[in-house]
Amino acid sequence: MPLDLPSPTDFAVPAFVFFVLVEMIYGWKTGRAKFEGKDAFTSLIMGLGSTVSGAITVSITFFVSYWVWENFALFNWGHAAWVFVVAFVLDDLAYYWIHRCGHRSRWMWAAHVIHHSSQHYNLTTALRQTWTSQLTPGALFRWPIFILGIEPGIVFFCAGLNLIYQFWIHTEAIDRMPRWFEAVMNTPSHHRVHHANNPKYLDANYAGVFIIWDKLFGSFVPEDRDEPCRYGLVRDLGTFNPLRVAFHEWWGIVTDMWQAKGLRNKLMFLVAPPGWTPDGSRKTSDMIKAEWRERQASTNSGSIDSPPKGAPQAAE
Amino acid sequence: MDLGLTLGSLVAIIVLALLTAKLFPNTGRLDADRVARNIVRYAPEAQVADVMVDATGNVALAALDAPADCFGLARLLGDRVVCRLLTSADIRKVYKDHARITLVLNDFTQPEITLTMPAATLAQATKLLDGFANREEATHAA
Ligand SMILES: [Zn+2]
Ligand SMILES: [Zn+2]
Repeated sequence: MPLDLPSPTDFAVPAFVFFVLVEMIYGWKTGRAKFEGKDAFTSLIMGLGSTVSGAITVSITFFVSYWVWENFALFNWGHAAWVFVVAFVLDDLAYYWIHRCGHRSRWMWAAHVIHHSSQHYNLTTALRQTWTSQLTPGALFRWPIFILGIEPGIVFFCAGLNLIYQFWIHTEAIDRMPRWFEAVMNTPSHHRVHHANNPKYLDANYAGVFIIWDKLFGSFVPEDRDEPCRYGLVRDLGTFNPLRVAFHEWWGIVTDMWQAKGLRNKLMFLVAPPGWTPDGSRKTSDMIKAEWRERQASTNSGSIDSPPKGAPQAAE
Repeated sequence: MDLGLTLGSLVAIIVLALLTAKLFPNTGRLDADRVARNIVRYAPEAQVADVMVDATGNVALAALDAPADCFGLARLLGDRVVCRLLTSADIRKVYKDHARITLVLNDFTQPEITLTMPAATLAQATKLLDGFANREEATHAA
């Protein structure tokens, strides 16, 4: 009999609405948080759609997870409080790798890109969630926890808490947390870097709750006061239409695979990093970063006079 | 997730979005400087030669000295700017009449863009686009 735990995110919905309202009024009064009506509407609708798509597929997710646990678990951990703590940490580690692969493989990016598709960074952005994570292999990353023997219900409960933690870090209203907190935990400052499309900040800070994973696995980049974050995608979306937002990258994958010559190229359009093309005609984040480093080096060595004139640093 | 929570969330979303629009109204428009800055931000290798902003201030085309064989497109989406460098492969059709140009693009998130322009700017924009979409040009039906 599976453990019957509540879904933490369902309980958090009223709090989400309340804190969005608080940040909005704070931003209106002080100018330290920026919103846009259609952008906020799209983000919130994506959040609602995500809970609906999750509800539709929850039975199959549970069924498969419990099947893995019941058939392959190495140990029986039980339901003690300390098991929840261990599960929370292991789930956060799994989240780090799901998220990292979500940026490095176009298959998983097709689902995750939605969360990065706003050019704003406020609490509504936290709720701009995918509708299609079930179409990716992301669920496999939690299987090792089930095989270790922790019951899936506990892991999903912890994943819900993890998602709630990540809500409050989507804000420009908080500059920095105390130093000890910034060292261990994911914070608004660290996650701003993750949402920025400045070349310097691409593919950084994948953490959910504990920023230590980024420090451990070499993907940590601190926020630089001289390089204000500019939010969104390297190729921003030209729409607020939730359906186009939800499926644009899937459409891109299908058309690219359809037109690609040869099985290898078709497969690469699915699994290679976003921006990959056989002829290099589009840019991956690695290519963008390499070009940026080259420009920095040229600027520093004096071989060009200055950075591109008038290029905006922050959003405009 | 029950039906009550879903409907309640929907109502909250509409109220929050309306409140956002009221508290943070969009008053910005594109101008030549803003377009050039954003095109260079989007594509640092771009060298903007000329900018043509449409009459609404929402869309602009940019002639480029570099890179070769493309032009810039900037569009105001809410209060932020969305940029593209377009080649002839990105343009499916161009419709023109005496006051408007409509670009039909191979772009899932903005498949069609209309620019409304005074005669002089329209002529300039037409000249720019002719270099990219001559063969696929069509006459506006309206
Ligand atoms: Zn991400
Ligand atoms: Zn985020």
